[in-house]
Amino acid sequence: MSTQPLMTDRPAPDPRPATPAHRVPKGSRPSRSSRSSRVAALIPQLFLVPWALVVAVPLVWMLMSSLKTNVEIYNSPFGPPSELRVGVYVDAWTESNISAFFLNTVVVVAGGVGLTMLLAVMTAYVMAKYPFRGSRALYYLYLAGMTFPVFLAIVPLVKIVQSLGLFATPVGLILVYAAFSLPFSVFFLTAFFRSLPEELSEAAFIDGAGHFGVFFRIMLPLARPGLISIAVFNFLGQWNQYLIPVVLNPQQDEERSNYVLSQGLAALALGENYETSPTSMAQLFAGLLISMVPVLIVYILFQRQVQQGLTAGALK
Amino acid sequence: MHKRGLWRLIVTFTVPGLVLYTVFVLSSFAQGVQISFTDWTGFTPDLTYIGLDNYLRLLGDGSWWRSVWHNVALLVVIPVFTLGLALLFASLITRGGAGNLRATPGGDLYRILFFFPQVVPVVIIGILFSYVYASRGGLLQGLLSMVGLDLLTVVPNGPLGNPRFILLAIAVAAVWSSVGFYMVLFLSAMGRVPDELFEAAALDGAGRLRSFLHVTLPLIWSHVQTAFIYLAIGTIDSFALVAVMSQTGTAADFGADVMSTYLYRTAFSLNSQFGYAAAMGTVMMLGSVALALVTFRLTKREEYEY
Repeated sequence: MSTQPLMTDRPAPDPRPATPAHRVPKGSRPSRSSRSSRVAALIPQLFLVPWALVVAVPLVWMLMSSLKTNVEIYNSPFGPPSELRVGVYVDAWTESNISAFFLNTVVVVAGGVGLTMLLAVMTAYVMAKYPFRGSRALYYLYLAGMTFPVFLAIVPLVKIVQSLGLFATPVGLILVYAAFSLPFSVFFLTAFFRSLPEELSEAAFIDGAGHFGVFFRIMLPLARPGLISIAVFNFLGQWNQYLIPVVLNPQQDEERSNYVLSQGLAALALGENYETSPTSMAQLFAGLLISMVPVLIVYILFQRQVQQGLTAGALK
Repeated sequence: MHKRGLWRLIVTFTVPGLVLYTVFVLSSFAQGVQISFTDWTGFTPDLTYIGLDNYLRLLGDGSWWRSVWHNVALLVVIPVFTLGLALLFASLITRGGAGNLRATPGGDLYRILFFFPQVVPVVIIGILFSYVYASRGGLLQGLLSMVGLDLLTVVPNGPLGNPRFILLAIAVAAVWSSVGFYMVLFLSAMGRVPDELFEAAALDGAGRLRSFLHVTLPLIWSHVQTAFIYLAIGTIDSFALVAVMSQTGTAADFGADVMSTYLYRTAFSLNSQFGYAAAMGTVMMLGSVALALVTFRLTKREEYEY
């Protein structure tokens, strides 16, 4: 993340005189209205800059504090670190066991997003392109899953996952993540497949392609933008997940080596009250930042994706 | 048309998803409602049905009502501030608050920055804000001491240690994280409003505020409505933020108990009263559905074609 305060990028006020005639109320003198409209052009910044600070300062403060000792943080919350303690990040990775949490999260989220995408794409494709007897019922079944709160399901879920022998296992988490991500993904992708043109697949049918061939060679490549959007959405949601692992993936050993990041960080934050080392706070902040790296990478890619999606929508 | 292989495709493509979804989601929801009529604790294989006892007990449970009340408070405070700020920033960025047809300088930058907290995992936001509010070395304390104030005299025990402030402190973190998301939502809605409408409004002498109230807001009202339902249901579901910021409020009530944390504690720490917790889950479900219906009814306005 750039530590440059983003406010310095505030562009200079537009030097062009504000001329649009329709903005000038009848009878007002041009010179005065031009100056007052330049002042008026600054009004948005008056609100936007403070919020930019509100958003950026806690994040920058976290980054700075990750390089300071506990004493430094207590004595000068805004002062810069006395030295660049990059070792804190190594300590967080090894001593605080962030490495294990990180790896578990990568495995579970990769599996979860992969399985969600596979099942959602197949279901959505059939629902959009081959309405069959019962597809309407299927639609409402998935709608129910999107409306109900997960808390209604959480108690029986423990029982179900235990009876399948998947309690506190990555496979259990992957299956549950995918199952709960399905409804929204199916909805989104069904709408997306519906919006795709028919001509290409009809041409392929005429050329003798089968249903499976059309799906893999024509429809999937066409649906790429939609697939990427929903994959990003699921990635962020599953990386973020806290309730499901807390309930289905409780601590199994002293090092909590089965935890995912959200659980591990919450546990570290609680234990932090006991100040285990002179840089224990920095280690926690370093852990927070490490676990944000994949999210940040995806966010940067996602920005481009959003813009592509918008222009694609505008061209249609 | 191409009948051959059609059913094979339909079955191959829909059954795997449906099986997974039925096993983990649909059957969980159904059993959640079923268990709510029992006194199950998870230790016996059999369910003993006790009728509506769990629901009657809920009616007389003061802790439950307190957590419902907390949810209601969050339900008002979080959407009002989140949507208010999101609308303000979106309209300021789109047309410099209308009247001025030029886009506001730095708009893209603001969009990227404001949206970012939305993608930060909620647990991290909870931990970060716990330190923002910390009385020793916290960000808020640092800011206050610049003007010669002490956090602990302003808010005894600090925002998260004081039952009167903890809910507000949590709401601030929630608003902080979601303003940008809704701003982006409104930005795309406002971008689709034709410029001519604003030109006409400006011609009639409407300023920023009037053209926002009379042009922008009516035209994007359906988006505001959707956003409110999203946020409101999200507030009912909020768990991670409250759990983390109240020192895992799952262990005890620190003055910020909401329905979800109370349910969690009832199910997983208070002698695993699964039946009672399931009744809470069922009530939460009914609440979410009712809320969505009521919101649509109350905020129904004329739809404008443009």
